[in-house]
Amino acid sequence: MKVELLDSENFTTVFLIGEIDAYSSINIQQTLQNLLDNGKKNIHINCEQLEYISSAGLGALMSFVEEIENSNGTMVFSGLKPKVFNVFQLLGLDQIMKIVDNQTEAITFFQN
Amino acid sequence: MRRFFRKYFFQLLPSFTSWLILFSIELYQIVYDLNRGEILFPIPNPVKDFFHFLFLVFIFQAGKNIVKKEAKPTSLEIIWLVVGIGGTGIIINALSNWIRNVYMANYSSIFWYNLDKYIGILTNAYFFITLTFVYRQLILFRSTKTKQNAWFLLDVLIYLGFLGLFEKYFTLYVIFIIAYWVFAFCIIIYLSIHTEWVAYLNFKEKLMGIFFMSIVLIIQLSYLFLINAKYTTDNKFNVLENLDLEVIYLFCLLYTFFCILVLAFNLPTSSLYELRQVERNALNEINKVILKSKADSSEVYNILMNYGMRSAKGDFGWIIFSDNESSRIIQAINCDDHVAMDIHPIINKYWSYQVDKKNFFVGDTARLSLLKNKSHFIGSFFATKICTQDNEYGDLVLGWKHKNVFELELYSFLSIITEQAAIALENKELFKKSITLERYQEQLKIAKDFQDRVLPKIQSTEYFDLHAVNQEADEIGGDYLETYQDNEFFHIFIADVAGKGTTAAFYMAELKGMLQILFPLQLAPIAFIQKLNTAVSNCLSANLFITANYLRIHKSSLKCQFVRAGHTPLLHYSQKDKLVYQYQPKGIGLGILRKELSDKNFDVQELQLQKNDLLLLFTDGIIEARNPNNEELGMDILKDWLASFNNLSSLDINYCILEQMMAFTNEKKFDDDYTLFTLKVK
Repeated sequence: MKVELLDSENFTTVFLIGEIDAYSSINIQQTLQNLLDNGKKNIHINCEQLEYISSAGLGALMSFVEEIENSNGTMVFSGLKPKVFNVFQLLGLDQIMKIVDNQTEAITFFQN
Repeated sequence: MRRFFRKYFFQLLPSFTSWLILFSIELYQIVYDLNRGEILFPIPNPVKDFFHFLFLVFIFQAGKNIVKKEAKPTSLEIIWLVVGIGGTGIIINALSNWIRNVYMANYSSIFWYNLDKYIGILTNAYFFITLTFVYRQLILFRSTKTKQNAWFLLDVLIYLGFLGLFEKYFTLYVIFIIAYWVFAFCIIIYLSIHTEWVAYLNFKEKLMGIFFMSIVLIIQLSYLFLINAKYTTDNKFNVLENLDLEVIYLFCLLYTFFCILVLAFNLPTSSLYELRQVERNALNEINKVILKSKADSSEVYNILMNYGMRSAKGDFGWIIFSDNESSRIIQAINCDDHVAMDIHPIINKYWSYQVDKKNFFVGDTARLSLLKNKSHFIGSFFATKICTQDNEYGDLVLGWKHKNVFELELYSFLSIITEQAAIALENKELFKKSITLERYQEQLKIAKDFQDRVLPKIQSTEYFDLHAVNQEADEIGGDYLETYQDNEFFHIFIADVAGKGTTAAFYMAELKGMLQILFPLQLAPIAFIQKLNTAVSNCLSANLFITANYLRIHKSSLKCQFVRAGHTPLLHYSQKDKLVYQYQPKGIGLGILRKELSDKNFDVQELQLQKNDLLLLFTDGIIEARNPNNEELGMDILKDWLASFNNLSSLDINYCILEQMMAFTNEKKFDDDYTLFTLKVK
């Protein structure tokens, strides 16, 4: 599993690559915490290359949803593969997280 | 003294008695000669020779037994024994000689003269025979069949030599005597080259060995040329003219000479043997520490430091342990801690340039620019890392004030004991860890027992045939199932706590408590889940959540209400339609949103059950089971199985599904926890 970062003008893109299990979820948690600590509140999570996410991985993402909202930031997910999207939907995460189809939509969202 | 007599008296008695008889005969013969014709019974010479023969045989047997009991091979004590015996013999001889000279003038001088002579015979035989057996012990130190056979032949030759006392009564062909000597010479040379015991002496012992052996040689020559000289003046008895002890003389002289040579030539190689000895002792000590479960790691450092210093004959040394944050001196010999702390970083700097990153030797510190200032203190040094493949336990530094004092052999020796010490230290650590692990396992067992008590036993009711199976992948799983019934409704609650182990067990206990409060409140399904979410959010850690399904069945009307909180869908087999329906109403996992959930977050699925209808509730471990091709089982296959087993009881349906799963995954045990709950309307 790999996490890559790309800073844009008014948001930061986090690329999640591969499979996220209990061990790699700690990595995500640290990455997101670092971004928040550095005052980066608009975060775009690019899931185009995300193959699988375990409940621990979801827990790590979910723990930041409210924190980002409370600090007037936004977290947007894009490019979820059907299998990953099903997991999001099953858990009801689609109700609380902003999910868009692809990167372009995410960029448009932040520009607006 | 009393002990000595008890021990040796019976050994020496026969030989001493024969010697007394021999001496008496000699005196009797002299008296007979002096008073010719007045003594009636002259004693013939063969009788005297026979007792002389007996005397030699008995002393030979006594020597064999005494040396066997006393001698410890390879120790110098064995040589001391003969030095003692030989020396005592010489003193006794000198005394008897003095007494003879004092009484020479009068009549009794015949007695003293002969006593002196016979004391010479006794001490001479006793010394040489004892020496022979002492050498026998040394030669047979590493006993082989050939050596034993050679020794047997020498024994035979010695006995034949004793029989040589009777030589004068027969005519022996010269050829026999020549053959006897050639054969004896070969055997003696063969035995004399066996000086293996010398290799086991250290330098000091070898020097002592040369000293003792030289004394033994001097004693031997004294016996041969001084004590025997007393007899040569007597024409009646001349030891050197007879065959009796000559093989023994030759053997003793040659072996002593060989031993002195071998000891002298082996002196330069002693340090190597000593090094091996230190190595063996050091490894033994370390092994003992490894086996001693309660030993402290400081013991290992102690052994390493001491044996390192002893083998290297170092002037000073230290063991230092460094990690990312700090360094500390564990042991230092002949050097203050702060001096070691001062020099070690400089040594470390040069270490990084070494090809062999583990061991590092500098013969002349003046070549190292940074150490030039310290060269009055440190002339040359050896440094090695105390490490295994995975862990480091410090650096060992041994130093000398002088330059180039390091031996190449020492290099491998120090590497070996350092490696062994590192293994011992790693073992100590592993042992400590295993104890902690054992404690954790014990706690995990307690948590498992606790969880087993929390999980309810599902029993069929008047209206429903129920069965549940639950299996944890690890000791403690995260799946939870609870049923409850009041007058009106039958409640089913299935949940999966994200996370396993003891955390899951505690959350489960909390969940059980919350459900015990909520069930009797007869809340509408959404309100039930909302309240549960609020309660759960207050106790779950931020990155955890719980997925759950809640069903409430009206017992008389069989109307069912189903709310899903992020959990896997519900499967319903309708007997009327002969179809399996999958229900996945909108819902959100418990603890995902930690605020009051609104009605918008959930949909309630209502369904009408009928006789023999089936409801299947399960956790994700079922549908996410994978076959060898890494393909998931999925909902469709599960639905097919449920449809095909619809005629069976709940229990049989569950077991048939599990059997199918095992066939699908090709395994007896699954990677994830799973819970399977089947309800059949009666």
